[in-house]
Order: sequence, then structure tokens, then C-alpha cells
Amino acid sequence: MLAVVDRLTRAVALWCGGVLIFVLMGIIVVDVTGRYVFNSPLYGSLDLSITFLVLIVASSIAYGGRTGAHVTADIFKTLLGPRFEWLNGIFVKLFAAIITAIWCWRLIVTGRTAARLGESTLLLNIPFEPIYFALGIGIGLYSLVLFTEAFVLARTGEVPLLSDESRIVMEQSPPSESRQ
Amino acid sequence: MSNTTIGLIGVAGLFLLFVLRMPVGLSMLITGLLGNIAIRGWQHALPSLSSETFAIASFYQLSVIPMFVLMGNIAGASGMGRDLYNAAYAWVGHIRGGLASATIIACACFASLCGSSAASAVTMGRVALPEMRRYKYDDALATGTVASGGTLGFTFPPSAGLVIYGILTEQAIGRLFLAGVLPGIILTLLFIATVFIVTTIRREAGPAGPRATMTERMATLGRASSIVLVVFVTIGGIYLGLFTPIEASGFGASFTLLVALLRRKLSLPVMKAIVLQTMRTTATVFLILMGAYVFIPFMTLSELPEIVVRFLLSFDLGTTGILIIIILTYLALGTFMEDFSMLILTLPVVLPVLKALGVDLVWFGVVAVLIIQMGLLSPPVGINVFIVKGIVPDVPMYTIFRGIWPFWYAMGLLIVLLLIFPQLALFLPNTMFGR
Repeated sequence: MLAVVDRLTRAVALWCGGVLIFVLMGIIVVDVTGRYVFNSPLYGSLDLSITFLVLIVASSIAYGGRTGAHVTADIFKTLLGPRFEWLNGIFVKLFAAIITAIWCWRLIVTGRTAARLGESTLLLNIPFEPIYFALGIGIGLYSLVLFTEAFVLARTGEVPLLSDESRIVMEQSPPSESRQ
Repeated sequence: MSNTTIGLIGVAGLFLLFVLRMPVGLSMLITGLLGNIAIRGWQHALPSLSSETFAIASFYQLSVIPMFVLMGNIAGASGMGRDLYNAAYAWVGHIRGGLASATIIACACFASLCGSSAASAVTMGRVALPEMRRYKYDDALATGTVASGGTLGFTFPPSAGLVIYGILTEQAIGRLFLAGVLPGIILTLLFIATVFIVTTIRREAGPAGPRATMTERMATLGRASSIVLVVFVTIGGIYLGLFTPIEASGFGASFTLLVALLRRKLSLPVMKAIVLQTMRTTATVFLILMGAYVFIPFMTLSELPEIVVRFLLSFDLGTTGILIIIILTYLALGTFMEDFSMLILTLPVVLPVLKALGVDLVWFGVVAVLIIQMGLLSPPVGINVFIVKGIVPDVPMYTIFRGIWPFWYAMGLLIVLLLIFPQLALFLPNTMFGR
């Protein structure tokens, strides 16, 4: 169950987020190059940037949750016993899962309202509804992560984080020639 | 129940959630949501949950976060950090404490690529610590240098902390970036002076390395020149008015990518790692920001910030006195909180105080990121300390903290200098953009 969630969150972050982030980079470069070289900046670059930024955020939140990227304030970490840690872990994850589920629902509702009111971006008229939906799905995926983690923690007593392979690979990246 | 009472209960609830180890972003979001419900009712609170979080996720200026993070990750993964270190090492490695000074110089240059304290510490730590240990450097000096040098990443542009500060205080990010340049350079020099003092007192702490030939020096400088060019194009572009910070971030990331591709440093696994690391950092920052955008309106509604302002002003301590109280509070909070969350959490209360005192918010932005970095080097949490510990697990935490103290005092000295001479931060932005 956790493995399925892991594959899903990683795939969303890597492929959706990866493509989107390089597209956002491309939009900025084309806009700047167009302005300086052709005296013609990319029409609607602001609209595109905003849209892609929301999609990047939506793709990242659940993966951040599974790899432990969402920071906690470790104030009394060492004072808590293992039994309290376990119960507290289940409570915190369930509570967070419920709140994020409500958050997801509200984003979908607001997206529908935006559609009813005909809200869109200024220049390209990109409708806000699908952008709200995308953020809602991203938060919904994070909610699924939290529910799954709470379930696994309750059943097995521990919930391993998704291995942060980025760190592993970054550490193994080929160094340039050393002076020594 | 009055709004202020609800606000106080909210703050207590927020700290309870912190203690229970709820992620900081969600803690703020939950407290803000429940507080808004208590004050304004469901009908207003629930729609603002989606509209406020959508507003921050679609905030154009925040495009710089994933772009600069991407730039830093490409630079780190493609070995640019090592090239910087090798160049600095070739030029100053032969003098006493030279390896530590080289680490500081490389950290300062790498900071201009990544904007993150942790990323600078990880990248330079992996490169510099094995070298310093090979040359029998004192563990305290070696680890203290890397942990402290990493903080330059949060001071120099494109500091992610200054970006977030700029957005929350509605200050121009370009001004803030330029305001960080001179203090960043001064801090680099103070760190090098610290290394000199430590190795003068204890010669065995930092023995000299071998002297590089001029050919070697020029060769390493040549390899590092591409990085210097990236920094010049991005930060120089902002200074010269060629780019907005967003344009500089996108252009800088693409330029770094191009350099890395030309150097044949990017395999598919490395590219995947770069993307995943960028997504992780983006998630960290945006969850906290979205939580803050729900929490901040609740704080405003509760009128707590106004009460804090009135309370502080009633003591008649003067601007400097209140600033010292704020600085001490930041230092205390920094011992157990992460940099972004601390900055975001405190601003709703601190900002009205600063405005009431007529403090220049660009100047305070630089001071705030410096204080936060001091907090992050302090026990018991000290994020950079844990990063260094992860690279050299056999060095005790006590030794690392012992090595950090001299650099911590250097940072304190810079804050005092900034209090006495605010122009150190304001000169460049005022020269470039006017007052």
C-alpha cells in the first residue's frame, strides 16, 4: 500500500514536476531573449509562469511529505517515550490528513466557483478552474500520503520515509578533476 | 470571548502542535483555519483557506524559489562547488589555515549560486572536510568552518530567506538582494579573519597545505571561471537593471544547465536527482508559506500584533532597545526552529513593531537573515551542525559546536556593525534604485 503511494508521489514529482520546472525555465528564457534580441517579449509569459508555478507546487507537496521535507520544530523530541511517540505519530498524521482533505475539498469548490464566475488569467484567459483543481489534487495526494502513513504506523509500529534518492545520487555525482 | 483571547489560545495551540511534531506549515494552517472559524465563522474561514493558499501558490515573484533552487542543485551535482574549492585552495591553501579560508571563499561563491544555507554546507562540506582532515586540521576548526560558511548561502543573493522576507513585507526583492551583497562580503572577510585568529592562537589547528604552482592556479581558476560567469550574469544582471530577480533566476538556471551539459556532468540519474531535490525544497518552502498565508490573517484579526506593538512601545526603550529585544528573541527561537518557518512565523508580530518604529525594512531583512543563521548554528538544534555531523559522523557534536563559536561571534560583530552603520546594507540598493 505504502509502495503504491510512494511510486505515485515520486512519479508525480519527477515527471510532472520535472517537465514543468524546465518549461517554466524555458518560458523565462524565451521571454527575456525575445525582449532583448527581438524587442518582442513572450506574450502572456506572466500568465504561463503563474500557471506553471501552481502546477509545480501541486506536484511537489506529497513527495515532500513522503521524503520528510516538511519541517517540524523538534522541541521535546528526546523527552517522549516510544509508546507516546507511536500514539502521537498516529494522531498527528490522522489530524493532518483530515485537515488536508478539507483543504483539498475547498480548493475544488473554489475552482468550481471560479468557473461559474468565469475567472481566468489576464492576457491568455487561462481559466482558473483547472489550476485550482490541480492544486486540490496535489493537496489531496498529500492527504492520501498522510492517511496511508497513519494506517501503516498503526499496524506495524513504524513508517519508513521514502528514501531521498536525490541526496544519495547527489552525493555520488561524479566530481570534477581534483587538484591533488 | 474576545478576539485577543482567541488569538492567545491560537498561539498556545500553535506551540502545542509544534511540540506534537506536526509539520510547521500545517501547524500554521490548522491554527489559522480554526482561529478564523472562531472569529469569523465557517462561511468566511473555509473560502479563505482555498483562496489564500492559491494566492501564495500562484504568486509570480515566488517563481524565483524553484528556479534558484534548480540552479543551485545543477551547480552542486555537476561538481561546480568542487571547482570553486579547488581554485580557492590553489591560491590560499599554502598559508596557515588556508584550507579553511579556501572553504569560506568557495562557500561565498557557491552561495551566489544557490541561496540556501543547507545546500552550501552540504556541497562544500563534502568537498572540503575530507581535504582538511587529510592535512590534519583540527576537527573543531574544520567542521566549524563548513557549518558557518554555509550560512553565507542565506546572506548573499539569491538568498531564499530574503525572497520570502521580501514577499511577506512587500519589499522589492531586487533591493533586498543588493542589500545582502556588502554584508555578505564583510561576513566572508570576518570569517577569514576568524580562521586567521584561531590558527594564530593554535598553530596546529590549521597547518599549511602544499603550495600550488602558477600553472595549477591558473588551471583551477579557469575551471571555476564558468561559475563566476554564471554569478556575474545573474546577480550582475539584477544590479545593472538588465533582469528582474525572476528573469535572473530563470536565466541563471538555464545558463548553469548549459554549462553543466557542456562539461558533460549530467547523466540521467543525476538529472532525476536534481529534479527531485528541487521538488523537495519547493515543497518545504511552499507548505510553510501556504500555512503562513492562512495564519497571518488570523493574527491580524486577533489584534495580537497591535497589542505587542503597544506593549513594546510603552517601555520607552527607543528604537535600538526594541531592536535588541527582537534580535534576542530571534536568537532564542533560532535554537529550535528552522529558518524559513521562524522568519514567516515571527513577521506578523515583528513587522507592525518595525513599521511603528520607522525601521528601514530592507535593512532589517538583512539583519533578520543573519540572526536566523546565528540561531541555526546554536545548540541544541543547529541545522548546519547536523549536516556537518552527517558528513563526518565520527566527530562529536560538542566538537562541532566548539568550532562554531568563533564564527558565531563574527556574525554577532557584523550585526553590531549593521546596527551602527546601516549604510553597509543600504548603500548598494539606494545607489542602484534610489531611496
